[in-house]
Amino acid sequence: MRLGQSLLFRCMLTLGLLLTSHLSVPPSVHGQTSLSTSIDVLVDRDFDALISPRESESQLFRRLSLDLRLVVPTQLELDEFLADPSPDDRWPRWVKRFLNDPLHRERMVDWLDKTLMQRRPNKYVDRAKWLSYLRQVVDENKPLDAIVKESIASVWWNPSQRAQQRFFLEREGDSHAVSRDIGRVFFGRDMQCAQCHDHPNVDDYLQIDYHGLLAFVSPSSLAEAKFKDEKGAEQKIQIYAERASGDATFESVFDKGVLFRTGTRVPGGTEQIETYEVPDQRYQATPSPDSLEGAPKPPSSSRRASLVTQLSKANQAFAENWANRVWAMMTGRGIVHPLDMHHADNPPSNPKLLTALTQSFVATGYDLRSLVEQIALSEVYQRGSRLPVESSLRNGTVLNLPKDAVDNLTNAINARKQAMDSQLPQLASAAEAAKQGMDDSKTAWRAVQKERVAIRADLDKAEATFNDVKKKLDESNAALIKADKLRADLNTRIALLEEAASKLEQAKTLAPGDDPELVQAITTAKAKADASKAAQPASEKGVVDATALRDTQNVALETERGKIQEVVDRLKPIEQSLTIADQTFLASRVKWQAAQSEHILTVKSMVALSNVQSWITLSQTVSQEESEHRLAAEARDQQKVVVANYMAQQSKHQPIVAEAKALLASIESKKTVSQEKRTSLAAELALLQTTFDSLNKSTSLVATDSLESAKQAVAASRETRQATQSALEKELTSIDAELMAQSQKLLALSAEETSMETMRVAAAKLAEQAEQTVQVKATAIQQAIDTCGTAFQQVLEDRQKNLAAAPFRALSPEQLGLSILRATKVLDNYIAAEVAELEKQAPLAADATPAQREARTLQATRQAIDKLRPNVDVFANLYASGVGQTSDEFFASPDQALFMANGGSVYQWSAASGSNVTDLIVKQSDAMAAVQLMYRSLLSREPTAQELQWVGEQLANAADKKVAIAQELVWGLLTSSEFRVYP
Amino acid sequence: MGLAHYACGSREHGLNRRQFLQRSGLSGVAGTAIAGGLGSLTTGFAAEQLKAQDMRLVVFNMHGGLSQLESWDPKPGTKTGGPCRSIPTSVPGTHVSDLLPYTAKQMHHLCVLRGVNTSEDDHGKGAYMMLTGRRQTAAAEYPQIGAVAARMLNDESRGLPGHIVVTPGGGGGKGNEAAYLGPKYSSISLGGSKPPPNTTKPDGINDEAELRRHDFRRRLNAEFLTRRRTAITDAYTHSYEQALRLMERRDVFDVSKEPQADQDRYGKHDLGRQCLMARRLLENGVSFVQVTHSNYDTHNDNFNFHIEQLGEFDKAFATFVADLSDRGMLEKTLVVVLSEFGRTPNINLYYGRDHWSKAWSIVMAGGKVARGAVYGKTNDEGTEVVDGKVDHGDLFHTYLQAVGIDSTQSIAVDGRQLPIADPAAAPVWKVLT
Repeated sequence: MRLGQSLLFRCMLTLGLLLTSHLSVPPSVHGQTSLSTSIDVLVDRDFDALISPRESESQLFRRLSLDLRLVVPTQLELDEFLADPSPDDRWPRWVKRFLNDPLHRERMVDWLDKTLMQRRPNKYVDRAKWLSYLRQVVDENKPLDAIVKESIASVWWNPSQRAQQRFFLEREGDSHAVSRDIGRVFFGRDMQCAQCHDHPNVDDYLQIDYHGLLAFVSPSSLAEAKFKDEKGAEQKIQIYAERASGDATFESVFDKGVLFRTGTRVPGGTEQIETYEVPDQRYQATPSPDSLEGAPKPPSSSRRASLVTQLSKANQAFAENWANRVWAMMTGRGIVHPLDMHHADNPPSNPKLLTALTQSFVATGYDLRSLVEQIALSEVYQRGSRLPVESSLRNGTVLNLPKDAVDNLTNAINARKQAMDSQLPQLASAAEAAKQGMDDSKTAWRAVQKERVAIRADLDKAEATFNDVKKKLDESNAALIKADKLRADLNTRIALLEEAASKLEQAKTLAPGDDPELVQAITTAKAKADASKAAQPASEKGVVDATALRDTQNVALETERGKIQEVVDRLKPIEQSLTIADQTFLASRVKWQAAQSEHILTVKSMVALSNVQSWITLSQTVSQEESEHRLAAEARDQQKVVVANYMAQQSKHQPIVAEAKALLASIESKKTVSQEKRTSLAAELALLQTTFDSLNKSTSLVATDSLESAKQAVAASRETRQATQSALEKELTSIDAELMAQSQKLLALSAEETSMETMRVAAAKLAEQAEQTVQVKATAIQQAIDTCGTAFQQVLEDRQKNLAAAPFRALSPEQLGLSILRATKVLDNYIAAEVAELEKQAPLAADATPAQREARTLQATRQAIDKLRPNVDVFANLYASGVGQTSDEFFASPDQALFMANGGSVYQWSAASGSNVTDLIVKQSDAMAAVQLMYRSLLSREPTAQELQWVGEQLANAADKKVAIAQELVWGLLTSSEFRVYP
Repeated sequence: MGLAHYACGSREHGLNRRQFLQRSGLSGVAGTAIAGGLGSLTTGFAAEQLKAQDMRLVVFNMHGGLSQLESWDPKPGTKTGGPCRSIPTSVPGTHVSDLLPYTAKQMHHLCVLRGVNTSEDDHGKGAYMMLTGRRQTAAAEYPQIGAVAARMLNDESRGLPGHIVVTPGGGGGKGNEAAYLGPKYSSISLGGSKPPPNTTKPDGINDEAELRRHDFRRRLNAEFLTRRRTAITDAYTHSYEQALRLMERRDVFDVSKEPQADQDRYGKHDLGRQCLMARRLLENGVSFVQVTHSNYDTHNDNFNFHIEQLGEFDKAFATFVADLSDRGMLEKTLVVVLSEFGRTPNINLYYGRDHWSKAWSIVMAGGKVARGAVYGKTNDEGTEVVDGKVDHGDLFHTYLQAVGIDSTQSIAVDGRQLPIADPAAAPVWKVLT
């Protein structure tokens, strides 16, 4: 590790990169190391080349605002932050300022709401009531554990705890739904798959864990309660009526018939064996009937109270889960991720960091505000999203390092990998051994479980008998009460009749003579009294009999109680052994978890390093491919030159051939002329011969001088022509020789031409092949870049897991909705309107305290948010995960885009109005200044040079369409990817 | 405390687990990423291949509980048979109720499963089971068949939603029907012939401004994307282009664009229009359509109600199946007719039949399902399945297999491996070709 660092130190220098300040030690707070400092110390600082330096100030500011307040910062806030006179210590001040912003409270309300309720609709507790409860909780900065505990322990008969009951009510009071979510939300363990058997993929989730949680809340259901409201009218509500008692009994679907029982147990704990109570002595809820008169009184239990007690015993799973959830809220990713998959095969990416966060969180009494603040102050939180050595290249990302630095990095990685590799067998066998130990203790525990299940079955039987007898006893008690009443009524009747008779006697004496009607009445009364007296023995007997029966059954019940006690006495030692076995099992489990986690973490680290190596190699492949491409291109260019040379030669050769051809043609035509001459000469000679012969014949017949002279003249003419003919023949012979010579010359030239063409074609073919090679290489580069890009995504993800770089996060639906409302100033206008309204109702005194002013702003902000909530809900409907899902996974769908484009509201909000950003852009005559304003307001950054130019042109050329174009540009930025995510 | 009812098959789970360990490379020095997916169907080659097959699925949900005795499994002349008769069909030897004369002529395309036993007589729970292939449990949510089909089959480049429910009324927001697959795969509900919301430009934007603002959006986006592209930004940018394509294809949702003759053939009632709409959507490449026909919950006057209801259904459905076949779409489209349950063989005092899930029928057609087949059998009075018993889990597997999806695989969601169908159930291989 040291070696790696020093090498990388040099490598950083080579790069001329600034060393980030994480090498310096931040100041301590209150004489102790603050959590933010611990975070920075505990986060892996290896391979600086792969650690993102601090994010740009403006983007960091945007991140902080979104994390702490759900909204993007305003342009004014951004300007103020950037112009802060003492930039060195502005960060903590702004963290504090945002923490004091009313919107921070809405942020925490939003987080608590989604974390606890997972977007369940408000079916049983109305939204206003729920939000008002959460706001109160946040106003008090109530410790997180207290919030959870008051939710768990809430009771239906206390109307002031109705909101807290929501956790149970909105899960329809179903014990499985409730225990699944207690596991997920409170302990970070989604043990749904462990309901029917030990989890198939996760060794760490056992069926017993699930049923241990189930025992806290099972059985339970919703029930209807009636109550009288303030006006005395009867109202009905659904209440969460759980009757949790006894054990959870279960069997694995893989191992049918083997029953298990468990009492309550929390993850990472052992079963809580409750002191056994005979059914008639068990805890009964004693709801106060004042507020819920006439409501059914289901027996409740102290099971949920016992869960609260368990949580107060510093349950590690609970504390880690919450520290992890808060961390994820701030950084977009849990140290354990997914947030509800804490188990040995999915260890925290940085166990020490999780421990430090957890310890600090517990030590501060689950102070949410403080934890959030400390995370925000850490340098890890402020890291950027890009690695110092990454370089974008046509849709891919390659390593950008000089060769010696690459070698250093590779060596450091190799050294680290080797070190881990040497540890690996030991870690693997330790995990294996620990697994064996765990399995053994599980087997031992199962054996005790078996005994327990058998005795518990006896106990169930004894309880059933007891309950039967108890039922009979209750009946005989009722009969006795009835007999008693009968007797008492009879005695009263006798007394009253006798009294009446005596009164009538008195009345009779007060008048003269016997009134016959009175006499009759006295007689009747006495007779009735006597008749009743006659019935007295029977009624006495009724009482005596009923008493006897009751006593008998009382005895019987006590007998049954004794029998139960007998079973309980048998159970006790088993339960003691079970506790011991359970503890042994738990201890071995913890040991295995540690060993397994360490092993897996090491494997993961090695895989991550291999991923970096792959990326380095693939980056090298890219440059290799690039240089090959370059060489191929060069070769192709050279070949092209060769072809060009041939073509130049050919074009030089062409006139020579042409000339030779022309010459040949001229000789040929000369020959033709001579040949024609010869032909005509021959004809003349033939004619002269004929003439001569004819003259010769004539002179033999008639010899005249004139004939003879004509004959002489013809002969002379023939001789002349014969001389010409022989000259001509000579000439023709010479022409033929000339012709032959020229033809041969042309033949040679043609041969040369053909050979030149052949050479050119061959060269051209080579050039074409070279061109194909270039194309192949170009494709190979793109493939290499793509592969390299994919490898880089993996490296980046690994680095993000290691907290070496911040992930790009999509805005949550609420962040998106509220940020659009803030960026378009709708939110601020609403707040201003609420402030004005409050001021109208009750003006603040001129000397109002700052606290009073803050309270006013808070109230106005909340009222504004409440009024805008329907608008934000639209975003939740379109962008949020479904009900009951663990988190808002990002997804993009056309209906979202259709809403953003055509839904009306977003486009309408981006229209110019009341000095919102669009309005300011329209009014700004300097196009460049307008573009800057637009980018600062919406994306919290300066525009790039290209953006400045292009967007500036749009505005400058907008002419009479400026209002429309400004709105379209603002809408364009609101719907851009950059607005949708934050680094 | 009762025992948990939910059951998982041990063999499949064991297999998955082994695959998981192998893929995750935990058994040794791993060369690949640990967060590997076991048999993940939704990434890479397998998913592409699946989408290339271009299979579709349409479900007719006979809401309220269709009587199997008045439809697919008549028992004329028995004490439970009621007044309806049975008629021969285009498949020799197979008879259906005389309330289905048109469908009878298409029997050679259909496959009847007469041995359905789902043991759940509650409307809500029964419907949940038939649409998700799982028993409802408070501790888990499962995606409906439509969401699974949209995720596995829909080709997003077509610019149309993958999961559409056609109802007479329409409306209704996004439910949780996609569960862990995410709301992207929740249904879009179409009522009558209205297209999905927000598919027209907002008021005050003319064509020129519309082009301009989307051009602005693209240009402004491009600058950021050169600096950082992620799966998130790609998907987000793409969704706007999909939205524009959906706006262009708005007519797909307008059933009145179908020829008048077809509108007449399907019938001028809600179901007729819905069936025609389903045909139109499937033809345009929507991967899943659900048509709901209400209401078959005939506790009173069962027979008259079935005469009336099936009178609508029979012709529209038969026309639909025949059209798919004529257009060569049946090979690529699985048609399912299901209910939440059937109705009691016993006829009650009000001439009604009550909820009955022990022995009832569903029908499939097309895709990789055998044609003209009957699988499963009930006894003479229809009170019990005597052969070929299947439940909701088996059927769910079968639907998926029939459109080329390996139903024994898992889907990776947020680091979890979730089996697509209940590992304790299995496809009915005998009805698959």
